Amino acid sequence: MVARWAIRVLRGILLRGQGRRNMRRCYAMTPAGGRGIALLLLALCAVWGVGPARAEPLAGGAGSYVLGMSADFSGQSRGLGVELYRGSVAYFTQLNRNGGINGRPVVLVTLDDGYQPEPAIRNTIDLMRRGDVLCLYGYVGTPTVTRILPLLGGGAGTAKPLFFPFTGAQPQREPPHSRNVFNLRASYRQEVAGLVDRFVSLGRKRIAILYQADAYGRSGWDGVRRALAAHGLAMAGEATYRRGAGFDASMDEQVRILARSRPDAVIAVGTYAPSAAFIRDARDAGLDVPIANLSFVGSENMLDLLALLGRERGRDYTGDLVNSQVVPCYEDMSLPAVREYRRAMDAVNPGPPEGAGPCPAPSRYSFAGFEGYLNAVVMAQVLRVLDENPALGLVGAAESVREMDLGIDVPVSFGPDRRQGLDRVYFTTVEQGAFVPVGEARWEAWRQ
Amino acid sequence: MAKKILIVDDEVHIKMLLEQTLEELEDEYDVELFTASDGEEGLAFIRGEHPDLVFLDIMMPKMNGYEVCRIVMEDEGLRDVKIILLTAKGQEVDRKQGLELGAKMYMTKPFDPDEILKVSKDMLGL
Amino acid sequence: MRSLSIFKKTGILAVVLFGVVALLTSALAAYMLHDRMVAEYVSKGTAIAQSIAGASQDILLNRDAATVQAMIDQYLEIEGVAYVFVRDADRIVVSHTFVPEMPARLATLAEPEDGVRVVGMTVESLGRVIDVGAPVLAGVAGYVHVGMSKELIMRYFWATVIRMQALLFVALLVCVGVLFVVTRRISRPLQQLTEYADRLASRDFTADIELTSRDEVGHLGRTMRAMARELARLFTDMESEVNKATGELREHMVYLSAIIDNLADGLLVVSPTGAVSVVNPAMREFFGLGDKDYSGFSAADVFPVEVSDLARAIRSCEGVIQSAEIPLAEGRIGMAVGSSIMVAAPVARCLGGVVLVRDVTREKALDQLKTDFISTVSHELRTPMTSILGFARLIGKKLDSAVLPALGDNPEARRVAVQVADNVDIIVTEARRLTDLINDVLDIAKMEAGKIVWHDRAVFMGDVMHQAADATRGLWSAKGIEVVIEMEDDLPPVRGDHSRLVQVLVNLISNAVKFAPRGPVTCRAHLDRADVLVSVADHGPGIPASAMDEIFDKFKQVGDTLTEKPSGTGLGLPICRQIVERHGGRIWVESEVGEGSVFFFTIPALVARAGTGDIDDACRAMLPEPDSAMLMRLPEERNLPPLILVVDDDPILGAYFTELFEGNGFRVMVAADGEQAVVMARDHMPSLITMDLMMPGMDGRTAIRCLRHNPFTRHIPVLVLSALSDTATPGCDLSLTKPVDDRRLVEVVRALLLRKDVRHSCLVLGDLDDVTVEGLTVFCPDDTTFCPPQRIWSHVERGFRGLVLIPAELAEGIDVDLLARVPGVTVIIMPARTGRGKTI
Repeated sequence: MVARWAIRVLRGILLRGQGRRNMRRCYAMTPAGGRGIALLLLALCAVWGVGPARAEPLAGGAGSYVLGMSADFSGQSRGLGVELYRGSVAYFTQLNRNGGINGRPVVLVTLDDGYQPEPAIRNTIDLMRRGDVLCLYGYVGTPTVTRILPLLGGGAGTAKPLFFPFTGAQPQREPPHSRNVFNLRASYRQEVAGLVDRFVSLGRKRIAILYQADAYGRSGWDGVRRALAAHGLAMAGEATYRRGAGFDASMDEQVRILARSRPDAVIAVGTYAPSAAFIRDARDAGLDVPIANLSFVGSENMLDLLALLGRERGRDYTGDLVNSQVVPCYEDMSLPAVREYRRAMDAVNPGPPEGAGPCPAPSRYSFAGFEGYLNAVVMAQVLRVLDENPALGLVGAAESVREMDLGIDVPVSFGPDRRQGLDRVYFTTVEQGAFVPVGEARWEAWRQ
Repeated sequence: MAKKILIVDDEVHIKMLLEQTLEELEDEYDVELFTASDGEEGLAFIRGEHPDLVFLDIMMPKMNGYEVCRIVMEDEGLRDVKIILLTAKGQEVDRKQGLELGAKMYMTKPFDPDEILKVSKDMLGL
Repeated sequence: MRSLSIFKKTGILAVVLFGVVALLTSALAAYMLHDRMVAEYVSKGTAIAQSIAGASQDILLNRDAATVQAMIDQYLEIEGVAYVFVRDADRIVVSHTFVPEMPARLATLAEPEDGVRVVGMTVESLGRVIDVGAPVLAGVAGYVHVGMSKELIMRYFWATVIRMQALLFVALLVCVGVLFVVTRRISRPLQQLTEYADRLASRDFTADIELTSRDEVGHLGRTMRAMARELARLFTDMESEVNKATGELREHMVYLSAIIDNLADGLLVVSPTGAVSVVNPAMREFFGLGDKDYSGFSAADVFPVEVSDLARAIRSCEGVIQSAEIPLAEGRIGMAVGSSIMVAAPVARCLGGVVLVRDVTREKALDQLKTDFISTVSHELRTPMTSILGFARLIGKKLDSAVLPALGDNPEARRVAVQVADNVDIIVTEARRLTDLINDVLDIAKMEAGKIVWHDRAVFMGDVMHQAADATRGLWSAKGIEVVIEMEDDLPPVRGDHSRLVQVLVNLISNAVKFAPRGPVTCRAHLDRADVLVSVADHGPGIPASAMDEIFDKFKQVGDTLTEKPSGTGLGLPICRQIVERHGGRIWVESEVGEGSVFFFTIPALVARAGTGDIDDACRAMLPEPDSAMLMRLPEERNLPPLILVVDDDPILGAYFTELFEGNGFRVMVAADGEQAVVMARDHMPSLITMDLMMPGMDGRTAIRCLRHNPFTRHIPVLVLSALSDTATPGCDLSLTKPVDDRRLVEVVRALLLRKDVRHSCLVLGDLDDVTVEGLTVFCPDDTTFCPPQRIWSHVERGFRGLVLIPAELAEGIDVDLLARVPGVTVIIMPARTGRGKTI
């Protein structure tokens, strides 16, 4: 009797833990479905969205182009979400002021997911069901994006493609999800491969990795592994941290684990607060090797934290840092895109989206903001093509973008087989409290 | 040598009675009779004359018979004096006391003259 | 409080029971839950592992670690999942959920090759886990591992235990509460009852109790109430009885105290410590004590040494009443008598002593007066009588010797002279009568005044009779009357004053001779029970019955004093009576007028009638005077071993017997001769005496007779040990001839002591005539049965137990050995009797 009761409780717990909304979805799809294991399997089906993605023709017509954006506006990576949003809004605002896409304005609908998969899935379902939303746009984060990929095929309404998520993870770049996703930025694999190649070339072959214990971290980890394997090397050490950790979290354990492997360099695949915490604890523990961070980290926020800490403790925590970026440095005024971006930001100075959590004073310019701006530029081009040629459909319109000059010296092209617009990785380091591109002299200084 | 008998009694009649009774002995044997009227006198006579037999009354003035008897019996030289106590008392204690003091006999008054004679003869060995 | 104790007990019981039940049920429930949950977790882990394995085939083949990571991450949210990790076909971990790193234990975990494998293990930082491993595409794509946290199960386990315990605890609290209420409801009436009982116990009979319940408690309450009423009634009755008794006691006390206060004699009571407890006014007056309260003072501090010595002597109950003459205040003289106060029951205890002081000044004075009177009368009467008698005799003699011969033949003168001589004879005769009268008067006066000194000793009545006959020879031979003396052969002696007894018989014979016209006068003496009876019979005129009592009064003679010339003083018989009564005897006359009279008197015989020699005086010397009361000494040592008094003149034998008896657990004392033995026996009250016969001084036989004579030593068994072959010793219990076998001696001693203990029941063979009962009373004071020898067995069969006494003559006809083996029966063969009158 007790056992039966326990089973019932367990089942309840299990189902609750699985996510009640998904379960409901499953019921809706298979009203005559069985119970028990069947429910579980159906739930899994819903999550993975293995069903065929059908390309729905766009509703088209007059009115605005509505883009649905779910991003972190309140969690650990809200700095990224807000900056990305602002960069995009800066462009779209100017675009709409200038008449939009053939008179039709581009509207950005934002929802907050707090960098958590569950809210992201919920938000995505909401957006998918909204008839006015043309497509999904500007999602932030690997764990979130990785989880919503199965929805894109239309399992929860009309199939809608995702444009330019702010993540370098591999799933959306590879089949089957690559069909529904268009990436602009280089992948993490490319970022870490760039870093690994650089470090190995500098003689720093013992490379350790700190990564977030989720899909994002795993992407970075996978990248490092592959890059090292290409050189015939293996990781010197690895440590994880739990997603959601703040700057006040202790990274001593991770520092200890990595220091144990006597690394020549450490690549951190994380967000800015835990990364900054790791840098702080590593430096405090005497681990002085170069520490590299990926673009997703939110470089400016990380730098702010370290700078603040450095001022408090009277110590410089910003030395020997390398941040890989997927967009050029926004300080590089030689690029037309940078100049336009800065002009747009100065002109519009968009605020954070509605409902965003408390934010540090919005950066005037940032890598994320610049990326958001570039995303908006490419998106506007895709919409223009669609508007002029609705028969292409949105995916078709996107795939028709070829050799588009963004003003960053590198053209953007998409195609049925090419779902990533840019491949170049940029390296920056902190000098005098600001990010600057890493010069060759600087690289040589790290040679071992 | 004549035997000496001393009669000591303050009562004149008794003294006379004894004298007259014992006169018989005087007549028949060589016996001399002497009398004394009180203890002191009697004692003086005993000491002076050393009589052979003394009839000694107990209740007498000056010195009673017991006293006389005691003194005589304590005297080595007089111890052979035979003393016969005469008394009217008759109480047992008297008799006992007298005999203890050394008296040879104790006679209670009234006595028979014949008895006196008989006793005297016995005592004197006549 | 009392209710709480009931509650406490039941509460503890409830708690214990609940505790056991709670532990058992929760343990069972938790165990089943644990069991079930482990199974559930295994199946859950298996499901997860298989679902991951199923879903990740392509991804793994694509080596897309991030997607795998995204997939496994979500499972981490499932409850119970501790970790998930995935290895690729090369067994490299491509995804895992560990923070900060993968535990080494899991990194080296072997892979399942065929199907799901479940392994339980303990992993650092995770605790106990169940690892469910499943191959992906049979290991071609890789392997999935799902770790189910057993710690969680344990958490549930403990949570369940705690919840159940909490639930049961609440239930327990409720139960205890209910219990409390119930016990209170039960115990409140009980408590009321207890309070009620307490009040009753403190004799508060006004207490009442409210009884509402009709259950057992109510019933008990009603019973108690009834009991209380009964008690109250009893108490009231008792109280009134006590009040009555107290009143009576008070009256009695007042009465007593009035008696004591008004007692002319002085009274002093001393406690055993010698402190003064009571002094009456007379006593105060005697010793000039005033009104001060002397209670608690030592008697020695208050009273002169004579009194305090007396007080000291009596206060410890030595058992002697003592008296002493003591000087009182104002030159008076007192006679003090002290006696101990002893309580016999329930335990003999000494309460002190009482000293009574009588003011005898007046008596002394009177006494002196009497003495003086007698002395004076003697002197004043005897002196003239001496002269009268003496001179009359002299006159008579001289008439005979001198006057009559001198008269010659003068007839007239001779006639006158003869007449004078006759007259003188009359004077002599009358003077003699007067002298007799004076002597008799003085005699009786002295006797009445107690001025006679008695010279008591053993007196043989035969001697007395002969002496009296001799003394009166003049009378009866003159009258031609014969005096006949008849007496029993072995007449025992009496104790008395020889000359006074002679005086009695002289008086009686004189009277008989005087009054009887013819002879003979017969004197007889024989034993009449314990007395020697003496009679003097004559053939005189007899005495009328009316006069028989009077003749023993003073100055009474039979007949008319006017017409008949009195003969004698009339004091003879009164003097006889005085003497006889003083000896503890009786005197009377039996007579028929015209036939003659028989005068009888009795004197108590000495007990040992066969006594030879004058030993009884020696015995008597060791006994207290009969008129001085003596309390029997209590044996002081109650639980000590029996005391044996060994009497033997040989010190070596004495030491030998001492050693022998002490070696057998007895206490021993030794006496060297009979006299010492009698004294020691009296003073120490031994349990048994062994007696040698031949001893210097008082010999054994005499000592035994003395012991038997003394009522206090009479009961002590005496064992004669003698070298004499003729051991038929009167008065002894058993005789043994020396040399004595040690063992036999001890046996005999024990038997004698035992006999003393079982003496309550005796069976004597033979009949009363054959056996002298006298000795038996020592052994069998209570219950003695006589039975013919042939019926002894029927007595034993009927259950007789005790002492069987068999005269030696009869012993041969009885199977004595068989009889002696009967439990509870002790056989004693009595020594052969040597003749009539001998004791066993």
